[in-house]
Amino acid sequence: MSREEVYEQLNQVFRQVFDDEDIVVSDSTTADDIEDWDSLEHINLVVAVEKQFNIKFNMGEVNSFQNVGEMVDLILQRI
Amino acid sequence: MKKPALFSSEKFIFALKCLAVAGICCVINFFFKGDVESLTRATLSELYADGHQDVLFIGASHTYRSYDPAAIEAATGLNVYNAGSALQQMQGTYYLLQEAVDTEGVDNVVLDMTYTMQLLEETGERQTVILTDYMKNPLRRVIYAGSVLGAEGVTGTIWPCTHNGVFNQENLRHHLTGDYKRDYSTIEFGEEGYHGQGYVPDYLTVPEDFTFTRATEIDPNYPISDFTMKYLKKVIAYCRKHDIRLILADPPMPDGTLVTAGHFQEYIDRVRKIAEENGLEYWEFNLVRDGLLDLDRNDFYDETHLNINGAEKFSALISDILASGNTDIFYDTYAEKLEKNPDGTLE
Amino acid sequence: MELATFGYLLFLAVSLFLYFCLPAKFQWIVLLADNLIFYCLNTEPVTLIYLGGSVLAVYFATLFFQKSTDPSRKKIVLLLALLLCAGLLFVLKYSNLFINTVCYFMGEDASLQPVNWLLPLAISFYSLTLISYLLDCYWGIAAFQNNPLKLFSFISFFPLMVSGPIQRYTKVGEEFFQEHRFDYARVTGGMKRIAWGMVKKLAISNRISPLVASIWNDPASYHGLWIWAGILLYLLQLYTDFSGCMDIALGTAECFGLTLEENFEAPFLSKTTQEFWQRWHITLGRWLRDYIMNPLLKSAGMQKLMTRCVARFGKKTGKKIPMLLSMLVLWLCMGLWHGDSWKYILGEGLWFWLVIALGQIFEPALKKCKASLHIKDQVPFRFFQVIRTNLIFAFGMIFFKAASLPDAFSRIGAMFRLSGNAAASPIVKAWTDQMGISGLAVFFPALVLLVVTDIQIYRKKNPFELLKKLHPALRWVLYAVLIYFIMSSYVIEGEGFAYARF
Repeated sequence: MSREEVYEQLNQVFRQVFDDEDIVVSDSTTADDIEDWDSLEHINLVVAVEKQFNIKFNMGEVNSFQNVGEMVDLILQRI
Repeated sequence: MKKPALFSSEKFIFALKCLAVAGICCVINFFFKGDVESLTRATLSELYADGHQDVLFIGASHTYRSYDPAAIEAATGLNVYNAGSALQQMQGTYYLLQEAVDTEGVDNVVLDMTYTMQLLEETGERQTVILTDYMKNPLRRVIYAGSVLGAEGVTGTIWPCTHNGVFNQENLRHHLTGDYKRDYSTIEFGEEGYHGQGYVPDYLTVPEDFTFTRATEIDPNYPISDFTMKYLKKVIAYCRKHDIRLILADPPMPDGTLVTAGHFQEYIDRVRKIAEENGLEYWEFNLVRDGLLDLDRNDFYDETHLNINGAEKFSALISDILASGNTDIFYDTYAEKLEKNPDGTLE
Repeated sequence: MELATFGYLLFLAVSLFLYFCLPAKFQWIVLLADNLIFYCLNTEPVTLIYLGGSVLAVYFATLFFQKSTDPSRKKIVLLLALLLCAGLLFVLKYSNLFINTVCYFMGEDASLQPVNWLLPLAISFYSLTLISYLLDCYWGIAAFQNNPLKLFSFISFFPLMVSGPIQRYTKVGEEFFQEHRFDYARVTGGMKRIAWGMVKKLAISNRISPLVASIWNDPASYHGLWIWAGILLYLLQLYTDFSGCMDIALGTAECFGLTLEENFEAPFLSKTTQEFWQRWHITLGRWLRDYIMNPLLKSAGMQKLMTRCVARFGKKTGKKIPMLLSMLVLWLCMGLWHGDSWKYILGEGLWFWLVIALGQIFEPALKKCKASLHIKDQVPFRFFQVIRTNLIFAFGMIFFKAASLPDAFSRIGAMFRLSGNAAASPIVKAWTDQMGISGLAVFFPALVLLVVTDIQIYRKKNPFELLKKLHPALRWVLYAVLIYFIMSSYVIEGEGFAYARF
């Protein structure tokens, strides 16, 4: 899967988790950029991403994502 | 790659700034240190100016309350000094003695052996800093303060205001004018005052209904702590090295107190043993024969200390001893003394 | 050896000199020596056995993680190491909670006596640092530290052994063992930060503490509002004490060339309780989030619950239930961390969870209310939010300072007794008399300086940068004034650091 394809699916996940059809994420997107993305929603988001791509992150990785780009890097490694 | 020079300009500027900060601390310390009403300031500064000592009385409060140097000098013609300080313990005595000897020498040392101070296992903070604040020898100050208080003790010798500072306008004024250094009139507290040459008598007397009870109990198996012994040995060795006649002395205490403390005889025996082992004299003034020292309730201000009346009587006896050299004035045991010459404090 | 002392500064000065004289590969040995000296000066050296034992156990566990390829075996080793670290913490620190609870319910029958064991220094802080290193290694996000002495020197870093902050090896560990040459900006910056911490602790916290104590020791005598005032003053005392300690700790680290994580970010300017706890004791909150709440929320059990709740109550409400539940666990742990008494669990845990949970549950209703009252996000409303947040925190701190749960409740009762009883103005007068003009002339300017710096910090600016804007002469006058604040407050008998011995 290419990075663009990952982003296509990822945007869908974000829109579903945060109930916002206008969300578009990129490498540099962080929690500060999306209003409801707090520490509680972070886990819901991660679980949804795991389900979408059929992969697993461990807690350490979940705790240390700095931005969406890092998450995508890990997704590409795992699929 | 070139190694940075040890004195590169950045480090040099940093060192300068550190010195500037230390300098600011010194300035603040100069104006706000709490030395105006300090008894030991007076005691030590006069000591350094008093030259050679024929006899040095040294110890804790039982020293500075009890020996009147002016009276003793008038009676004997000797040059004497009272180097007593609050709660002085053997460690403090060891260092203070060296300061006195460094001045212009000492011939005889009368070392206070009041039992209450010899029980303690370590030197306290207060008694250390009141001496180190005014001791001249910088290395000795740092070693003494450092060994008792660690790093805090060392910084306290540089900036004493960190432990004795008085940060108000009056203290600032004193230090701007330096008026308090001209005489010792600032060291008068109503119930006690500095009377020169280290003598600080107390003017009060015990109330009518006062009961003399023990200050601290004596453990018959351990009357003197190992800590005291460690420094006493150092004092003995130092005196031997500098050819100083060392006398172990115990100023008089109320019999009422000693009886309730219990085991005073065991204490006497212990000190006697130390004196015999080291070839020292031991003047135990709680064993004075009948007729030589008549003390009663009016001569004490609390359960252990002589007041100004008692001190005068005691100093007269000291003068006699120093002048005549006669030290055969003691009973052998405390029981004998209680039987033949009890003071007026026993109920 | 207390942190806010000249003796400590001397210790630091000597250490820094040795540190910068040595070649890079030996620098950490200075830190190790410092840690051991500091530890032995502050508590019984024999308790090093707990610290050393925990570090060794984690060290061997991480060695195993590197060598083994069997995930189930790794998990067992992880659990064993966790059991040892957390177990030691629980037994040493929380035995009395267990004993007292059992005695309470069983009355005279229980023959259990409270214990009084010697605790290692900062066990509540270093245990969490060590557990985070263990877990981060297990999850593969931390570099392994295969020198047990180096690991020990990281875990026992001396300025953190009083009140933290709780560090992460992933953030600071590598930097710890790199070469550090004398850096003028960092060393002077660190020293300024240490001085500021001393000003906070000595000139503000120690000076206000007698007044706080006078009101606190006699709640029956005073009108409720005065007791509220007393608690708010206690917040000032506690904040300047704890954050002052942090300034000294982080300033010390900065001198050695180490940038540690902050523990405070102007919490008293927060608008909500949630924001407050992102600005107060930050490293603890983050630790609980990363190692308790997140794993719990992500766990299969919680995810199943989430699916069921969403199916039953709809997406918005359904998600809230497992989230609030996980948050509850976090807050109970937060309360428990603070001490071995139910008062902490209630006051530092349950209370704040309740406030945040209610805020979340009623968020839509409150938003409607605000809109219908035409309240805008301007200064008056901001003011209200800040006051409200601080009062909520103050309420929780009653439990922190109270001697026990019953004591806390009786004081709360006193706080709402708004009729009868005297004003506490005589004790305020007594306090101002004791301080004198010279004391007040130190306390209030220091307080103003505190507000100024915290506002800067809230705006995400470094307050020390402000200093650079001053003319050098003026800057040095300010330094002299602050040094005077420190020295003139030094002789005042204060209480030890509030979070020491945790």
